[in-house]
Amino acid sequence: MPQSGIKLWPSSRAGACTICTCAPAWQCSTHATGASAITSAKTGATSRHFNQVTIRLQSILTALIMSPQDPSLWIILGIIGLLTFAIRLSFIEWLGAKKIPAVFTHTLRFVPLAVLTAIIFPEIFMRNGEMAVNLANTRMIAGIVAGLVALRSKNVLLTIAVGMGMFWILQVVTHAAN
Amino acid sequence: MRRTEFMRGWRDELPILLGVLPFGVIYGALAIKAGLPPLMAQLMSCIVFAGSAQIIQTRLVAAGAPGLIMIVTGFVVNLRHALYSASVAPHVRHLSRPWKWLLAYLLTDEAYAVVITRYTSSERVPSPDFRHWYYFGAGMALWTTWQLSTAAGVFLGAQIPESWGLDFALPITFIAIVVPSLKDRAGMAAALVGGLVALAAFGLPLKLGLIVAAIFGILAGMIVSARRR
Repeated sequence: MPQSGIKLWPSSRAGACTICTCAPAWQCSTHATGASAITSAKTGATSRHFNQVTIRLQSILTALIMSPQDPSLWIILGIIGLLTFAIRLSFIEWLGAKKIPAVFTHTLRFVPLAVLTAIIFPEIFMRNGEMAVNLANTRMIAGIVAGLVALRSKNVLLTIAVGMGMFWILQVVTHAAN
Repeated sequence: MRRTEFMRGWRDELPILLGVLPFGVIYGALAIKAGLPPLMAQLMSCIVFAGSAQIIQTRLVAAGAPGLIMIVTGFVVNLRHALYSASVAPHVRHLSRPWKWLLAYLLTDEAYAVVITRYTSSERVPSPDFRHWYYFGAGMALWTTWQLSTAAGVFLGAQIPESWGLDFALPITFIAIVVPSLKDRAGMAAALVGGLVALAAFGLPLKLGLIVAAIFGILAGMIVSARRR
């Protein structure tokens, strides 16, 4: 998983409980509540404790605008799951009597076509973020061959088999040629 | 009666399962390659339970896309399920809430295809009507297959070396899905514009390119279909 450079979850040492340094201040079970007040007179830990809570809230917000890492990734996946369930439940539970506008029905047909092709094109026509429309691009050639197989056969399994097979053969051939 | 309907739903789903199996394996393997922990990869199949959305998420995770983009993309890709929801709603209206929620959870492309055929067949409506058990059977057949094939993919993904270029299975799988459904000009316009804009917008920050390309592709499809009417 790529590292975003920004810590989404504060590490256990930074801002650890000022008494026992066992865990981030808000997680220290022994000194959770009173600790910061007790030590604040000496070290000003109250503000540090407050900072830790803000960082925790921030981490969830950051997950929305930065690439989420392990703990916040669970939250993102949970939201995606809930939304998916809500879409499936929508007419069954809440909108049963409503009629879907024809525009909506029409438009939805294009969603998978546009989204999936928007994923396919950069995968096969680009390498390392640069356009790579040339015969040395094995992914492009294997992708086009797979497209032709899909067009003629309309067979999903055959398309995957030929596409991957073609890709592996071309990989081996180009390796041997170099 | 419940049992017969359940088994019948399960049986009618079987031919479709053969096609679902490789997707589950590919998803599981791609999730591992994208760096998802195995438990998360497996549980995503329970929580989200939607093939292409899950495969797209693995790519977004690998590319380090922000959470909001993941959520919006997941929402847009799964929006078509609202159509299925509207289509089956009249048939499940009489059921209790737990049943409705259970059946909604099991509402996928593949289950819908089988279930709606049963609900709209000219066969005389059985009395008492236990067709929701048919729906449940078809849905569970798919759910079980999806979980098991994900597990197989998670296991395989950890074994397959990087040099095999397994990530290429993603565009190939999507080609196998998209190309056969390009039936008219409007659909082709949506796909072509979506693809080309994705190339042009690839450099956009925060992986916004995918959503931008999708919006342009959908608009292109709408414009072409409006012109032809």
